[in-house]
Amino acid sequence: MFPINIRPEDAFKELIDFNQKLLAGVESIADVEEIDVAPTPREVVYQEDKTVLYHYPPKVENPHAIPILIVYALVNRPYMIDIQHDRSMVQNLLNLGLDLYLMDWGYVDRGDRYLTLDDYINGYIDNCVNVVRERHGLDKINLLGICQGGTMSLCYASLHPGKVQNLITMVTPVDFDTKDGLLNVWAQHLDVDAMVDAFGNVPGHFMNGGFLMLKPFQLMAEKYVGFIDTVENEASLKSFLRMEKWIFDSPDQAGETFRQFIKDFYQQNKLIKGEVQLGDRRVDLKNVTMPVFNVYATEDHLVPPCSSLSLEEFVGSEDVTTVDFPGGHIGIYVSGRSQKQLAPALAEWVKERG
Amino acid sequence: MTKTWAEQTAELAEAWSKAQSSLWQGWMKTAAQVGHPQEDMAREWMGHWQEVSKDVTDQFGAHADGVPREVVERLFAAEEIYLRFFDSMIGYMKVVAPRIDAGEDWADLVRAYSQQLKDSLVGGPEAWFTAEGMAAATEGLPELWKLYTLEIQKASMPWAQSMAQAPWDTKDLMSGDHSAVSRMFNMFMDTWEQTYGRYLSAPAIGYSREMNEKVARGFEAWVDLRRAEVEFMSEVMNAGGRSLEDLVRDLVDRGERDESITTFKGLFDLWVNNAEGTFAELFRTEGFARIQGEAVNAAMTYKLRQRDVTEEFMKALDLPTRSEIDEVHRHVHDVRIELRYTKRTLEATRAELQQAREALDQEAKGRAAAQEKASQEKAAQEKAAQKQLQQFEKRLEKAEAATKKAAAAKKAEAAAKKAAAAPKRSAKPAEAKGGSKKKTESKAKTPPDKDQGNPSE
Repeated sequence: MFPINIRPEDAFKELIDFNQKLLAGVESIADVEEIDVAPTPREVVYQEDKTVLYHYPPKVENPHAIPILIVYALVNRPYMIDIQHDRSMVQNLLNLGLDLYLMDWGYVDRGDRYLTLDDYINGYIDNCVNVVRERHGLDKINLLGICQGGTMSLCYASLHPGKVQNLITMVTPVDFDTKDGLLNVWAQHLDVDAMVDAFGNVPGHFMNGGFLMLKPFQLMAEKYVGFIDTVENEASLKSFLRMEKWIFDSPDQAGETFRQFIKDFYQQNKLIKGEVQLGDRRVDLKNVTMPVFNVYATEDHLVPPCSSLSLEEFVGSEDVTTVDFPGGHIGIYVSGRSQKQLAPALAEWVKERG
Repeated sequence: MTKTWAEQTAELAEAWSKAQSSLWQGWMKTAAQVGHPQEDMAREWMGHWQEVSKDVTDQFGAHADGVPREVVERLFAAEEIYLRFFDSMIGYMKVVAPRIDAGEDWADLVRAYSQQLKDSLVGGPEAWFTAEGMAAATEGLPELWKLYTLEIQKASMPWAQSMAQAPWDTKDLMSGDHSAVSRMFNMFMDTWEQTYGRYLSAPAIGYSREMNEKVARGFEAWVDLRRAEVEFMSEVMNAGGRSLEDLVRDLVDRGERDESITTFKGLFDLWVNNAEGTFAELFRTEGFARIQGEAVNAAMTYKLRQRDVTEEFMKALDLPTRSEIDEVHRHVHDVRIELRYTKRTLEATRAELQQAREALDQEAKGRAAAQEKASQEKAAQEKAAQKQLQQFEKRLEKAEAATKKAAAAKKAEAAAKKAAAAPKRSAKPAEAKGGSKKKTESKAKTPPDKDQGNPSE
């Protein structure tokens, strides 16, 4: 049987409907004045260069005694975890009685070109950890790292185990030697030195181009065609626009940090070999002896599951909890399902361990 | 009251949609009566619609900014893809439908049509190797490159060899192998490098040799970039062709299962899924990763060579260059690192100093306590000794008094004995001597016995 059974009249009617919705959507978009993100109230408690440390005032009278410091990736902006009221891991954790801090890396400029991983990990992260420790009168705090932020948190915990009570890693790459992720395959053939020497800071839009190339047809055509069907719904429209803002709101990457991250982690996989050098110290994951909660997404095309799963094998901790979550790299934060499951699981685990 | 552009656009769009609906229905009826090809009218209609869409986007862009404007642009870009796909499907239907009605096998027709589409992606490959083709291909290149391109057409041995090989690659290309494009281009470039390219890469001489070298290296980098780009595009084109094959295969399978697609959106989704899968397979290969890496690396190298030339001009104009500013940033960063380590050392030293102070304080307090204790003990000892001394003195006094008393008693006894032993003298009383004198016993004042001490002392 001939598989295409589209009558021309129906096809053109479909096309007309499509374009009518498109124009209705354009009108709706024209009414949007500002795209609001990060709705949860917060206060600045510390600032160093472009890095800002935020504290979210607790929502319960007696929050959990040991606060959590969230370390996001350098790629993309951290408001993904607080994108809107009904899709906010931050609000969910606050409602569950946790005390939260967040590091916002800001937007690097040419003056930050020579910032290294040592600056980020033993500089900014360590200083923020000390601020939180001092504010609460604690020797140790909880650390939560997301994606590349999780990799940096792992490095930090291995170098400063005396300051970390519990470590939470989410969609965090640990073993970079895998063919399951396109970024891992493509990175092997990049001349990172030439790229950093040419760009200085690697532009955010260049990174965006690379991410779009992972699924070009879905991300550059199908997504927008599908969006037409929901554009007339104001809530759907705003959700879409918030996600669009986050996807393309990519900061530049400090040149020397990018150079070391690609060469040492992606190309030479030094983290699990214990060969990453930060300043005058070497990162040894065996020094990560505190409890670890490791979350990975089963359909993550950016950080393949196998890259996250290997964490358990290399850390020195005897209390490692690995949790899989259905969804993609971003869906783990913004999907409706994750709002009900991820934060409660995390909160319960943290509270059990002080 | 002046209407906003959104209000005007909304009214325009609504009127346009209604007009097109009624127009289309009217044309359909008329076309059916006079036998006018419907597909041509559809294309004409779509052309008008695309013009309207472009106008809407341009007007929207004039009044909006940021994410909303970008989203609208992407929406219309997606619509462009949608319409082009629609257009290609109309073309397909136009060709295939009558032949299916005439009884031909639809699967063979679909495969043949997709082959035509694949061929049309590349265009006439023979155009690459005629004089006109080469000139067209190099139309946008600098004058230097054009000059050499014309020179290349004169016969020389490397060129003759390359031209002898070309027909075989052309044959491969005609059979659908798009990598033949990159092979032919690479052969072209290799022959170039064996002849005229050698002179370009030779070291420069003379007063301006440094600048000349930089320009020459920049040109070489540009040539490498072009080569890498052609290779990259040929891989992508090949994948595009394979995605069409996959789409056809999928359609054939559906036909065999008696499944049909009834909406244009469904066909579009099928095409996207097939294309995504085909390209995902390509992207995972080491070959593509290498080709993509080379294209990116060539672009970065070209950018660096371009900067080398640009900075020469900036220096001549006394403008700060990227390299100079980067050097400043590097120094600033180094100073920040030193400052950070100095602060940490200072804090550590302060902490040590504080600890030492506290230890000293503790020690001083301990010593003071010990001293206090010692002096208290000493005072107690002195007090005890004083008391003992006093007690001793009292005993001594008593002993002296007793001794004195005993001595006096003894003396009295001795005096009594002496008095008792002395002979009795005349009765004349003592008053004969001149008066009555009482006999008084006077105690002889004996000198203090040194041994007994003087109680009054």
